[in-house]
Amino acid sequence: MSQTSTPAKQAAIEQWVIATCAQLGLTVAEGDDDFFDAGGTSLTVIRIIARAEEEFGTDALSPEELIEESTVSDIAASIFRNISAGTPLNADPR
Amino acid sequence: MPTRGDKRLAVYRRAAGEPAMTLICVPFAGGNPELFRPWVQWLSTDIDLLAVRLPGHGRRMRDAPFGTWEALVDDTADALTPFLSAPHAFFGHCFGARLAYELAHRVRTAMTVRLFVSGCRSPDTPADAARVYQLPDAEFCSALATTGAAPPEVLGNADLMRILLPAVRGEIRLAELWGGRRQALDLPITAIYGQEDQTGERKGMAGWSDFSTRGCEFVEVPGGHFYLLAEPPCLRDIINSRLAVNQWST
Repeated sequence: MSQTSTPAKQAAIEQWVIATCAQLGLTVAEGDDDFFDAGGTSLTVIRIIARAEEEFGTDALSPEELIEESTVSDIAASIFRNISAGTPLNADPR
Repeated sequence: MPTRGDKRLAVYRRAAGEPAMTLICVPFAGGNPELFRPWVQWLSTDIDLLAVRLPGHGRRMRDAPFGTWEALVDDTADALTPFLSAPHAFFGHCFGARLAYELAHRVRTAMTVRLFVSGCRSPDTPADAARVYQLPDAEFCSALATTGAAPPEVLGNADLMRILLPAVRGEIRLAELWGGRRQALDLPITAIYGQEDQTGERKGMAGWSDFSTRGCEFVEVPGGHFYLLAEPPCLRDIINSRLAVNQWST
């Protein structure tokens, strides 16, 4: 990955997270806003993961990652990390 | 107070000024406080609304469930302290009603103006159904599925269930083991149940009349044990009317 494109790519994913949360009925506006504070439940966890997989590929986001780090920025960072690694989650060397 | 507030509470409405009272809600076993968020749309505007967030749910997903009622009540009462020196009422459904009752006992303040117990056997009624909390995961999930409270989409997701199960199992364990307390509360109780509720929780509700020195009323609403999920409109009137200032202030 090129270093200059990283922030732009991550910002684009953040915007995707914000838009997707809105579609799921959760109001988040910026990076520090939290998925669960906005009303995230087990059902919305499943739905945002399914949409992330449709958009970014299999294993783009795991329930553990979403639950443990749940701000918009955190979620975008998890997705970015997973799709950048180009390998399944469990093989992520991080 | 941290900027995001106490993660043990989901505060859905906090008036800038002094509210008439706070309604403190407790979800059923495995339930999320988000269940109560829509209530701000109809709850009288002078009432603040918050719900208890138990370990293993939402932002507390990584917190281990409590193994004893005492620890659970201690922690929850501690989280609620900032709200208990002003008028407040408790509402809980099933497991949540048990916790609401235990909280009312623990805080023992005249500021608690009413207890709503919903779909919950009285403290002196033994559980009438076989316990499920010790079942292996697959059987336990099947038992959950029959209640209709857990979305099939969630039950069918093995990755997520693996994460959620410890908390759900912990709450159901406490719900099933609960009972034996016999002291009445010095506050009015409103006991609400779904008219089609066939569970032992419904059958065991009559005993609540022995648990208030100020009177216990029984209110039937449309629906089954989890009538709450359908948010029947009559619930709005039941709660708002019981919490209207002239009903409790002196």
